[in-house]
Amino acid sequence: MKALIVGLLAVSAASAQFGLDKIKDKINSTNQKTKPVTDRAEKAAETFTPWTPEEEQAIGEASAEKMVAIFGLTDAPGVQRYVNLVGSSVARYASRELPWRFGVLDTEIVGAFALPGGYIFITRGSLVSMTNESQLAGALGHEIEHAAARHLESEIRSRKTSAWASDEAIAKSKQGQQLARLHADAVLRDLFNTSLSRSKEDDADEQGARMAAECGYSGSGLLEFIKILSVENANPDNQRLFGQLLSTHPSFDQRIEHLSAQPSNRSKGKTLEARFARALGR
Amino acid sequence: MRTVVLCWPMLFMLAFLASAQQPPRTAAQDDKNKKQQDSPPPDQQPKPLFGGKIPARSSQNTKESATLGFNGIDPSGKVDKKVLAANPKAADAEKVRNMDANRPAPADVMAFAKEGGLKSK
Repeated sequence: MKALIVGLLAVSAASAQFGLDKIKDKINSTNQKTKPVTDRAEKAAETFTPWTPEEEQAIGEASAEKMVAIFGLTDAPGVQRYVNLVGSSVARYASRELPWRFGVLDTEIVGAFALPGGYIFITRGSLVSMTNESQLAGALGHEIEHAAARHLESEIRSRKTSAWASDEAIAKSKQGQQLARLHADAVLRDLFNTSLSRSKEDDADEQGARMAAECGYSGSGLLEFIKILSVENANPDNQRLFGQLLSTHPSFDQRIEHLSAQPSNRSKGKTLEARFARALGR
Repeated sequence: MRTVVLCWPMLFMLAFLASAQQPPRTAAQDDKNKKQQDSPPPDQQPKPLFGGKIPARSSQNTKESATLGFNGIDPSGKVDKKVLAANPKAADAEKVRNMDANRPAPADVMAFAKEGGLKSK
């Protein structure tokens, strides 16, 4: 009798297990069918979800390392300190608080770059072209606005270039520093090879001039600087120095026209030629 | 013959007087002449790092040559794709960490703004 009961229990357990397996299989097959849909939903969500502050900092740091690897930092601690002080003064009037860090890249090309997380770079070639501190304040203000308003990040997300999309796909399997490095590659590729929309550049010019003016600088510093660059760019010998800047920004004429119409342009503030010259060892 | 013998002391005297009239060479003049020999002509002298007009010399001449040959910049002035693909080294990461460490304190920013007659927020 006992043997019969044990036998019946074993058979029922086996059949129950068989039933469970069938159910599991059915669930799995349903999951398989719906997976592409959830993938697409995840992708769409990623497209519109901004980086978290931690992600933004990690991506910014990894991008800054690449930037420094490409150009190097100018070996002039006094100038680096001075640019940090001017930039930090202007950044007090930014639309978003970030841990702002400013660096002078050791290259003759003319340009300035904003990376995620508050890393701002200006080239030695740009400083050489400037004649006073208000011009530096305006140029740094332009970059501060790009970083504060997450211009690069939103541009990348809205455009979703194929390279960026593939990086995102790979990034799904990566974590932490590896993930930040992958994003950094895409950030610099976009920074150097594609231009932000005209409206974002106009916004950066407007807000850069506004921040400098609110800080107490002459509001026309950025406009003056762009006019200087426009003259220097007319010299055929200098064309190579402006290649990067002009490939990613509106023309100097367009920027001059837009900035000339801004109210901040009429704000009379400090230009600080003497302090600028002293800081740069002129 | 006697006339010739008598002339010799006179000749010595004249030679002595002539040499005495020349101004003595001072050590300072020697230094100045040496500096003039050592320093390159004005057109070959290095320009200040941030002075003058573009292009300015590089501070380290490692990323660029001193002769406007931009390593990593293509003929159109854009950053070369190969350079873009390069991975940063530990030294680059350290420089970025230093950027973070060298951020000016708020009090320093305030003092800097005050010194320049800017607004204190």
